[in-house]
Amino acid sequence: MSVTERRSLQEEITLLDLVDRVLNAGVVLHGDITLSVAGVDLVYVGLRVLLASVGTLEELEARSER
Amino acid sequence: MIHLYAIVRGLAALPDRAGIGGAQLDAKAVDDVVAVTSILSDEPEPADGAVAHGLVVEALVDVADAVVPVRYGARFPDAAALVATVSGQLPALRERLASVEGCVELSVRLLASDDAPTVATDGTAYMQERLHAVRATEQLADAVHEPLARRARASVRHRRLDRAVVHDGCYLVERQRTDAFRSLVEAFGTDHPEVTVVCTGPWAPYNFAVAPERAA
Repeated sequence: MSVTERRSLQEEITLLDLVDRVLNAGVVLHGDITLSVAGVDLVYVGLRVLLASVGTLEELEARSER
Repeated sequence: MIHLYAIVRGLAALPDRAGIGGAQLDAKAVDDVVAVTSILSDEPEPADGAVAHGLVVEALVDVADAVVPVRYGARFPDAAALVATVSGQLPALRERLASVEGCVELSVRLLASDDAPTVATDGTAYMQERLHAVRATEQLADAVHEPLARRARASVRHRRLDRAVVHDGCYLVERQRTDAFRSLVEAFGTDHPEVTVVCTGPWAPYNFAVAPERAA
C-alpha cells in the first residue's frame, strides 16, 4: 500500500469511526429521544455504517492484493 | 427542542464551532457539571446531524478537563427536562468524569491482509487447519492488546464477527502519553507486516462514557 493510499484509507476509517462512536457509544441520557435523522430510522443509518465498514475492508483487501 | 452533546467538567470556554444545523452552542450548569447543548429548530434535521454532533464532542476535548460524550439522540423539550434528567444521573456522571479526566481514547485495529488458502482435503484436516488459524489470530490479538492495555488507564476489546478483523480495541490513554502509545502501535505494525494496523484518534472517550460493568 502506498503512503497516499494508506492516508486516504485512514481518513475513510476515521470518518466511519466518528459516526460509529456517535451512534453506538457514549452515555445514553433519556430525554425525549428522537430515533430518526431526517426521517431515516437510526437503526437503518447504523446498518449503512456497518455496510460501509465492510466495503472499506473489502477495498483494503483488494488493495493489499495488488 | 434541546439537543445534548456531552457532559463536561472544567470547561474553559465553549468551542468555536456551530452545533447541528449551524445552531449556537450553549453551556448549562447542573450542579458541578456542565451540559453542552444547542437548540434544534423545527426544520427537518440535516442529514449530517450525527457528524455535527461528533465534531462538537471532539472540539470539547480541547477545551474541557473531562468530557463524557452523550450518544446521539438525547433530546429534551425544554431546559427543565434536561436539568431533571442530568440531575437524576449526577453520581454516575461524576464518577465517569473523574475516570476519564485528562484522557483521550485511541482505537487500535488489526486487519488480516489475506486469509491463507486452505489446503485440507477432508473435514477433520480442515477443522484442524481452521483451529490453528484461529489460535494464531488470538495470539496476535493478545500480543498487541496486552502491552497497550498496560499503558492505558482502561481498555475495551470488541468482538467482531468479521474474520478479517483480528483485533479491535479501545484504550483510555492519558493525553501526554498518546505519542508514546502511538509509537508502540507503530512498532507493532513494523514487526508484523502480515497484518494491517489501523490506529485512529485521539477521540473523546465514547467507549468509557459508561462504567465497564454496565456497558453493553
